[in-house]
Amino acid sequence: MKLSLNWIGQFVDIDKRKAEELAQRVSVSLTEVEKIENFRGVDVVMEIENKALTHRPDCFSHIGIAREIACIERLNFKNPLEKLNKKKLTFPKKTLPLQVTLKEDNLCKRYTAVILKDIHINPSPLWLQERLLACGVKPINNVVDVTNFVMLELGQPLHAFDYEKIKEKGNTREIIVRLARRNERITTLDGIQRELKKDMIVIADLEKAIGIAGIMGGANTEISEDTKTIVIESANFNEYSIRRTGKITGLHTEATLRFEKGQDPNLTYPAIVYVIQLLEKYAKAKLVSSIIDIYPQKTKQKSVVINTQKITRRIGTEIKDTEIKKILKRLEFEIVEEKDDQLKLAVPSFRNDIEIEEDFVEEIARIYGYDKITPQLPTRAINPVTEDLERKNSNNILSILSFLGLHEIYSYSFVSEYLYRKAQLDHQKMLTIKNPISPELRYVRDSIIPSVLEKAEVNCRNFEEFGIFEIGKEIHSLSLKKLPEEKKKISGIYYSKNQNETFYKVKGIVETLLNHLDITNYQFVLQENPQPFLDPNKSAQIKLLIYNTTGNLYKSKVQMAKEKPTEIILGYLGNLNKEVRNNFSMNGCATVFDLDFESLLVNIPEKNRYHPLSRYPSLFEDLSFIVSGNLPVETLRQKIDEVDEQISNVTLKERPFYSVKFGNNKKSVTFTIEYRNSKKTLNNTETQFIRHKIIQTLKKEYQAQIRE
Amino acid sequence: MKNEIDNIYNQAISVIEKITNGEALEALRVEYMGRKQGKLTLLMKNIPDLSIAEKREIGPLINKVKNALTIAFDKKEKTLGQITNSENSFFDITLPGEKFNIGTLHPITQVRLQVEKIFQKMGFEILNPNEIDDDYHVFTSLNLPPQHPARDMWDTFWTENDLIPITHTSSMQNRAMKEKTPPFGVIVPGRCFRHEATDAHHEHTFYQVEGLYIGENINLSHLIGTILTFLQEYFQKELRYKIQPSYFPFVEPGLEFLVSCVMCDGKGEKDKIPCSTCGHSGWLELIPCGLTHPKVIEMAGLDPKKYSGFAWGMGLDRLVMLKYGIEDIRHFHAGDLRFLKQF
Repeated sequence: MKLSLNWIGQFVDIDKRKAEELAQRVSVSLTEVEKIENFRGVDVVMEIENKALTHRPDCFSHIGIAREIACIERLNFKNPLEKLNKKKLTFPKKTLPLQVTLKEDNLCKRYTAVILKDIHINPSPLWLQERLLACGVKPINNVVDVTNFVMLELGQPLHAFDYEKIKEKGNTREIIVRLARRNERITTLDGIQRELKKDMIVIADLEKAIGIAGIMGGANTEISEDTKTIVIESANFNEYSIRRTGKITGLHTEATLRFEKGQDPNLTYPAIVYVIQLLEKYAKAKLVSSIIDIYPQKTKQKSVVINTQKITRRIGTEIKDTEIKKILKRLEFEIVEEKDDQLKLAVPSFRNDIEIEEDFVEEIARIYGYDKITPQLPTRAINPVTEDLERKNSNNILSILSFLGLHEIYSYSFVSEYLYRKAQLDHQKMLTIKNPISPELRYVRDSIIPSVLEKAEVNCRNFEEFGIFEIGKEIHSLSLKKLPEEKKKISGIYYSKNQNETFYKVKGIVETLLNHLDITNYQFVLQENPQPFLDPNKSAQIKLLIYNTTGNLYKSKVQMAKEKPTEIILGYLGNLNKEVRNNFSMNGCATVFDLDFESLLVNIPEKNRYHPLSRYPSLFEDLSFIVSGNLPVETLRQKIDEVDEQISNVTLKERPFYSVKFGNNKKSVTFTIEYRNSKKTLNNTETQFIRHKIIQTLKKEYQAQIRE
Repeated sequence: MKNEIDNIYNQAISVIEKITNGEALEALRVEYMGRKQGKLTLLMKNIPDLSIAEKREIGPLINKVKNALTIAFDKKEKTLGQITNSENSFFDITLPGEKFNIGTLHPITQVRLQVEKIFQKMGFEILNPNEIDDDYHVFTSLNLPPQHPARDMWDTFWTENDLIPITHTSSMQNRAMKEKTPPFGVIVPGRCFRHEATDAHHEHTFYQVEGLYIGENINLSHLIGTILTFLQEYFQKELRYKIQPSYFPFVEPGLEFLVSCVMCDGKGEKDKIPCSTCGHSGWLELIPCGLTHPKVIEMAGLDPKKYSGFAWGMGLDRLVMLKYGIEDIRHFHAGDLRFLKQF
């Protein structure tokens, strides 16, 4: 909002030459001054930020800001309202008829009007035009300019109707404040025809709407050069209704700006008196009615009791009572009663923001000066802070993933139908945004994968090989009545243009992550219903097997093999199918993974079990078997592991390979087997016995041939 | 001829033994085995003139000698090479090391972890917000009943069932006060949304860290002290600060916390060039804050006569942009590795 310092200077004795210093003090005590500008060498314009004044309708006027400046600068405030309220007007004997009817009291708090005749429509005097221009308002003619001028000075929006254009019936004319009718339309002053909604307040005559209350007048009663008789409206409308109408119509006029914050109903009278004075002088207008003033429910005088001790305690610095009282007086809070530290304060009607004692913490502190408060830290018992599960481990997870070569990305929570279609996913279960910015951001994602694929596509252009991941939330709307379920996921992709297989790379990343988090009982199984974007033959579910450890924490593995564990599905990984790869312009191989973050967190063991070091040496031996090409290596490995308690470890020595030498669809698999007994050194005969058992078991179960 | 071959062999072997450098060795190889004038080569050229019986005897012999000499030359070359390499060759420490591909964390994650760590050290707990929440937690419980004019300050997205992709992580204030026993301090880092077109400085998706401290006799000095301590710890320097009035319905008073610009140290310019970070003003408007409104405390079931507190909200994006001098906020969600690999 732009303010003229000449104008403010009428009410408080400021030094225009020291505008910069003034601006600094206004910034820390009221609202930020954004700019100080010289206006045509005759005035200085101070532009202030409106946001901090959202709750201060009184500050949308020159007198409001002048009152604040007077308080900040400890200067006298010359209030023009007192004179206007006391002004004696002489009313004519012969008047023109006008009736004002408020159909809805609660929507219009007060309606004040007057009729003026013999109007000479002319340009306004230069000094008045200058005031308007300084505030960024374009001068039009004396009538319009005077209403704008009074609004800028006092904060009361005003409107002038052409009296002759108001419908006459019988011998009278009537102004009615009512709600809009169904399908009612009005062409506003800007020449646009607007459809009115039924909860909008309109100003109407007996026939039609002649203005949208508090927003803009109608073209049908507009002042023209021929206008001789006018009705001035100085009213006060319900702020919530005006705000809603302003939003619906998209009309943010100067009037709306003030009304939607809740103007003081006591302003309508002095404002109309001011308009009469100015129009008598500059448009040769003559009063031709008394002041019609409909004010069904007078606003009550509010009062708040404050305790000065409490106020200073909240501010956190000592302020003398005399100082507090001075500030209150300057802000026009009247002390009605006083008892020890208690003050009962009468709240002026223009301060509709003041309701409770805490409001005075701000009033006192900002004028006293926030800079006079000494910063300190709160004191309390030094109890350790509980750390949530996520914080305990997420650092670890993040650093493992990045050390394994993956780059973390962020992508939007909102996605499009098109993106889901590219990923061959169904978009219909997603929650929709009613007011999206664009169609690309219409749905709330229930999978992170499509976004990850989209980001992979971006990077395929610049990189031949990369891995990315995101930790984000899936939003699952279970019922429209409840909050959706939010599931945090770690989703990622590894892409390589030149490698023909990336599956094992990603599997290795997942395994390393799990191992590093001490999660050991996991299993990869072929997915029965793989996600639609995956190659069904190259996708695995990742399961955690949770053994019941109550009772015996140190179960032997043979015991564990017999027990049926609880299975938790941690997520999946798999190669993208060809079609999806094409949809996202990927030429090589790409493997995605998707892990449930919560399941991961809750299954990280508190303490990793310690295995005492064996005092007896292990014996190592490599065994190669020729087996059917379709037999999963893990099945074979587990089988060997279960053969004997003294087999302490079985690992795959090298990637299996096929050869015609072994027969059709046969592969050679080589394991390194570690034999160990915790109580003695194993001798050759003993290991030979175990080896024999292994060979026999595999032969029996899988027709495996030992390869010499 | 047989003798001749034996001589050539013996001669060659004994000379090879004495050779000490590569060039001499190569000359010797040419002398004996050179394709045109080598002694052995010349002998081989005579073979066609021999009788069949001689051919049978001499042919394999020459081949044998040729192979033996080749081995001898190669062996000597290797020995000489080893000596040269270990004694004279240059160990190039400027060759690049073996390459390990290490990934990166998003800069916002990095700054979030840093902020979390500072507040944890100061005794704050961390809460996680919902990404989609209801009107009560996002607005009403924060003294923003429906139709409150100040709701316009937040450009809000709405879902089909009138839920809200959270506009601020203040959405956890009510829950925090219901769950915790004062005195307590919490911070709530999270993803927020506002209905705003995206350009270099505006994003509809952004990251906020809300802070809330509730206790007895908490006042403005505690608010200022806490925020200043955090900022000095984060920027690792002494900062000047300034407080301006602002307005948010869930705090009273509502304030804006400004600090001296971290780029130009509050001078408004650096090397006589106007500082673009603070717009030449020397101040950064960093943290909106205030004392918790008694209605907000009351709605969470605590007694506002007994408890007071303070709250603030700060943008993580802003802290990241300040830290690295990032000019365009759109980089954060572009997923472009050319950007992300720099962190």
